[in-house]
Amino acid sequence: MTDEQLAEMAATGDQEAFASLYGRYKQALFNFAWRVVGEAGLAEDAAQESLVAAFRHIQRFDPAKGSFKTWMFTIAHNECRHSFRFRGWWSYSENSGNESSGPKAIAPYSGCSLDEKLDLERALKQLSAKYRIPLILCRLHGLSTRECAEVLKLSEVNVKQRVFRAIHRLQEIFLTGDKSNRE
Amino acid sequence: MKCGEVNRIVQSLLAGEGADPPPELLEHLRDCQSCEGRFATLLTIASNLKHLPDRKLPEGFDVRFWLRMARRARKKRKKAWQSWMLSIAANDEVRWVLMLLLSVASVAVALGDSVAAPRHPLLISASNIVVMAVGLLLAAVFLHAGSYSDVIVRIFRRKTR
Repeated sequence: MTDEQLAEMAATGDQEAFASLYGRYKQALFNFAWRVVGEAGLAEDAAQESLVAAFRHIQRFDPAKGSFKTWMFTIAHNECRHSFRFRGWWSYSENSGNESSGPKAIAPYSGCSLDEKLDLERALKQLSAKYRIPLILCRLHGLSTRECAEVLKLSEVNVKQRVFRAIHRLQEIFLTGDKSNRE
Repeated sequence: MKCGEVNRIVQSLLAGEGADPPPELLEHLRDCQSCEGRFATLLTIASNLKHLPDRKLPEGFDVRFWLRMARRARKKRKKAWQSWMLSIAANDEVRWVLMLLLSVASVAVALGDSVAAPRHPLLISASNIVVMAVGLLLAAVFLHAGSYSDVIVRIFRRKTR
């Protein structure tokens, strides 16, 4: 059964349909929130609030306007912004890279070992939110450029540019270990 | 495949369009040192991003979520009660009836007590005057509730957020 069908059932008060949607999205939303806010407690709050808000307003979901996934990530993105509002949007992106000792270079076309994945996570944290969020949505959660543009209220061209620049910055971080590469 | 074409394909791949790099592209990158230097690491990073592991959900995540849902449901029930009260306040006929009932009841309580007491019927005790005043005040509030129901709604919404 598709997410949209389950959302339609949940809108009529079907608790099991909502439980299925919860099961499908809890991990993805937690991953997204954790990579955006960078702290497990805040990420949990943001993910749970997104799911609660989705359930409360599930009648407002309109499949004609976009997929359920896009709708969920829009809510999650708003919740993350809400978390940032209390901490200062830039505080996280300015400080997050300090814990890292700088990622090691990765060999082209190699299989990705656990160490390299950790390095990639650290490098990702060094990007500013402006570049990190479109990259996370497009590359990690598989949203198309159009869907990502809908979530972030940006143009498709803008999203493409940000993703492209984000990967370029990651490359710079890997090649030079440049930790001051923040905006 | 020419270098210009490689540039175009790589850009669209990095933006998330298309799946894995096509074999012709990989072949070109093996043969062309210039393109290899420019794009190999970019493509590797883009490809490895997809395979980052899930973060482990914190212990008790599910329990806390369903507790949060239960709290929201309680608030929602409270909201239903508030909206019922507001719908009554918004109805002109109901407000008039309530106003009349309250006025009659408060005057009856105040005067009835004085009549029953073994003293002059016009001597009303201070407590009865207070009862009557509160009753008439409530009646007046009910009568004008429609004009400030928007304000009440806004106050309730702010409190229940």
